[in-house]
Order: sequence, then structure tokens, then C-alpha cells
Amino acid sequence: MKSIQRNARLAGVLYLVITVFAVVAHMYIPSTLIVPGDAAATVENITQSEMLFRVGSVGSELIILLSELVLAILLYVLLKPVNKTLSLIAAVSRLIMTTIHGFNLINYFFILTLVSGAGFLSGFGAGQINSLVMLFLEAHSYGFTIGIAFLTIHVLLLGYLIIKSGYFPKILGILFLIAGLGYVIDSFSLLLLPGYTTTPIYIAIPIAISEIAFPLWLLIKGVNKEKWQEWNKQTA
Amino acid sequence: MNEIENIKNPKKMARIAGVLYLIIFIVYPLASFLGKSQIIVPGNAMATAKNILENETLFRIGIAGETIIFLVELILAGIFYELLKPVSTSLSLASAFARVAEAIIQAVNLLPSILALLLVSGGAYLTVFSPEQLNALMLLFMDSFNFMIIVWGFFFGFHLLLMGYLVAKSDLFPKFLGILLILGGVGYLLQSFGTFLLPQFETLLATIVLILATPSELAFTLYLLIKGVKGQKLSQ
Repeated sequence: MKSIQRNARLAGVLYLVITVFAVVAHMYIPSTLIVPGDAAATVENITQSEMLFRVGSVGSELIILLSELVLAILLYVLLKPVNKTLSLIAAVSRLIMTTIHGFNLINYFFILTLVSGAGFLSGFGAGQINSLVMLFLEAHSYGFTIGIAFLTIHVLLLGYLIIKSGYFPKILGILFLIAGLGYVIDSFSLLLLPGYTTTPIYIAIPIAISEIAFPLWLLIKGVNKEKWQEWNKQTA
Repeated sequence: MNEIENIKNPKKMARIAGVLYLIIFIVYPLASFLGKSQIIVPGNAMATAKNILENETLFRIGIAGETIIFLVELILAGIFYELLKPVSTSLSLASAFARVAEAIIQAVNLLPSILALLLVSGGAYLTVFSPEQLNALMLLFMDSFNFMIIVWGFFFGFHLLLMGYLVAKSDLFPKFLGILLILGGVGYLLQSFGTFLLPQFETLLATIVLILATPSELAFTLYLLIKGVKGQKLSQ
């Protein structure tokens, strides 16, 4: 019992770590460095603040990757009593997302090399370098979305398992189901609608609420003791 | 101890793991020497392109070698999950996840080599680029291959930390092997974080990982091959 509460707390902490670094990597850094539609200004910004890009974007994403890996396992442990197969599928989908996001860092490497002014790139004009940088920036955001497609499966299963569990409040599960629906709409819109770049607020808000409410609940309350023990008696 | 008896033939599984490790020990240096370091001239796109064209077979053998490695890694992830599960199911699952993530990133990392090969092989549709530009793109991709080694090294380092802890705790292996593996993990993580944040120390960091990781992996391989596991009969 003690250890399951410890796992719940750790999951809460990791969730918040991910949220904080994700805000840095996916909101703060892009908003400071990327000038939409202006390749020259964007490249100028990245060149000027290379260290910020390295630490803020790449460094943050690396921390997120390892946190995601551990979080996937902790959530599996927390929800396994409800349904072992479904919680394993949820964990594996989160792992797949993490792996895709890990590989997606290759786009940032291309950008860092292109702006580094390495001698072997001198065959390209400045305009060509700039447009390649924009290409890989866009590719990075698509790569990110492909990963999120797997998070959708994870979040929907998580929502279902939380509702069934009884040791977490049902409302948290419902929030995740709504968020999962938001992820579906968001990723398919990005893939299908050419002009779709920013997530509309009515999708972003439910996602944000679920991603903050659940970690806070894990941190403050953890799992409901009696209900948890009931489940484990059943499965034992 | 009870749960260890549930594992079918731990000694046999450990021996298989030893043989698989041995395959990596032979194939990995060969693949990276013949297929990569002997062919790629850092910073010199023209010389690299010439080398790839003249040694296309070696380059392809390198790619085939990398394929063998990530397939072997996948099986190793499964074997160590089974062997170390009695210590902690969730930690050994986390450790296996990290190794699977590593293997997947290694697999997708064949892509840069293929792109490089296509760029230098002179497809008619590429003639709109100048030879200098084609070579530059090729070197950009080959450099990204090295960068992705850092990314999978990050997952692998984390895997070694977890596995080291489990091996140290396990009744199947001597404690010092676990400690050595943890040191190896620290080496990989230092290299991965360090190369991102302080790229100027890349060579030094690569030496550190060699010093920290090689003894642990060599000792572990030998132990798996010779002893298998502690105090278990071959057939139970």
C-alpha cells in the first residue's frame, strides 16, 4: 500500500515535470525564436540563440523522453489491477509516442547543423539554407503530431481505466476521454487541413485541464486505499 | 527465491543472452568501422561521397550489420525482462521498455544511410541540384546518423542504470556486475547529455563512455557465457 502511494506521487511529479518542460520546448522556445513565414528572421534568431535552442528545445525534450518512459510504467502499475491487458496497451502506446518523439529530434539536429555554417554546406545559398531550416522545423511539428496519435490511444484507455477503477475519481477519467477526443480532432486536422497550425482553444483547454488535474490528484490524494485493496483482493 | 524457480531454465536463457551479446561485440565494431568510420571523412562531403560510391558494398554491409544489432537488442530486452522480473516487475518492464526504445531508434536510424546512398547514386531526378549540394545533403544525413546514436544512447544509458540495479539485487548474478552496469549507464548518460550541451567535448565524452561501458559489458558477456547464472543447474 505504501509503495503504491509512492508510485502515485512519483507519477504526479513526473507528469508535472513533463508539463513544465513541454511548455518550455513547445511553447516558450518556438514563440521566442520562430517568426512564422519569415525564414530569414527565424534562422537569424536560432543562430543568435543557439544555446537557448540546444538547452531549451533539445535538452527539455530529452528530459521529457525519460520522464515519459518512467511515467508509462508507473501508470501501468497504477491501473493494472483494473485490466492488465488494457493498461499494458496504454503503456506500450505511450512508449511508442516517446520513441517517435525521440527520433523526431533528428529534425532539430538538421536545423542546428544548417545554422552552424559548416564549411561543407557552402554550396547552398543563404536563402536555400533558410528554407531547409523551415522545412525541418515544419517536419518536427508533424513528427510530434505522429507521436501524439499514439498518445490518443493511451489517453482514451487511461480515461476508461480510471473510470472503472473506483480508486480515482470518475471525473478525472471523463476529462481524459474528452481530452482524447480533442487529440483525435487536433492530429487529424493537422494532417488533413493544410492551413491548420494552432490548436483551437476549445481543444487546448480540456487537454490542459485533464493533464493538470490528474497529476495534482496523484500528488495530493494518490489512490483511494479501500478501493485499491478491494481490487487487489479480487485479482489475488 | 520462489519466483526464480518459476523462470524456465534461467541458466539456458542467460547463456543465450551471452551469445547474443557476443554477436553485438563482433558485429557492432565491424559495422561501424567498415560501414561508417572508414568511409565518412568528417567535414569533407566530396571525399565522403567518393568513398561511399567506391565502397558501396561495405557501406551496405554496415547497414546489414546495424540491422542484426537492433534485432538482437530486441531479444535481449525480452530475456532480461524474464530474468530480472522476480526482483521487480515494474522496474524490469521499465528497463525492457528503454531497451526496446533504443532498438527502434537504431532501426529508424538506417534511414539517413539510405538517404545518403540515394543522394550519391546519381538518380536522374536529382540533377536539379549541383553535385556540391548533393554531397552536402549527403553529409548532413550522415552526421545526423551520429547524432541519433546520442539519442538512442540516452535510452540505453537509462536501461543500463535500471538493469544494473536489478542485476545487483538479483539472486542470479553477483553484485559487482550490477555495479559495473550502473557505471556503464552513467557513462552513456554523461555522453548523451554532454554532447548536446557541450559539443566541443565530444571526443572526450566518447572516451569516457568507452572506459566506463566497455569493461561492464565485457564482464557481463563473459559471465553470461561462462557461468550463465549463479548456482542454478542447467536443466530443472
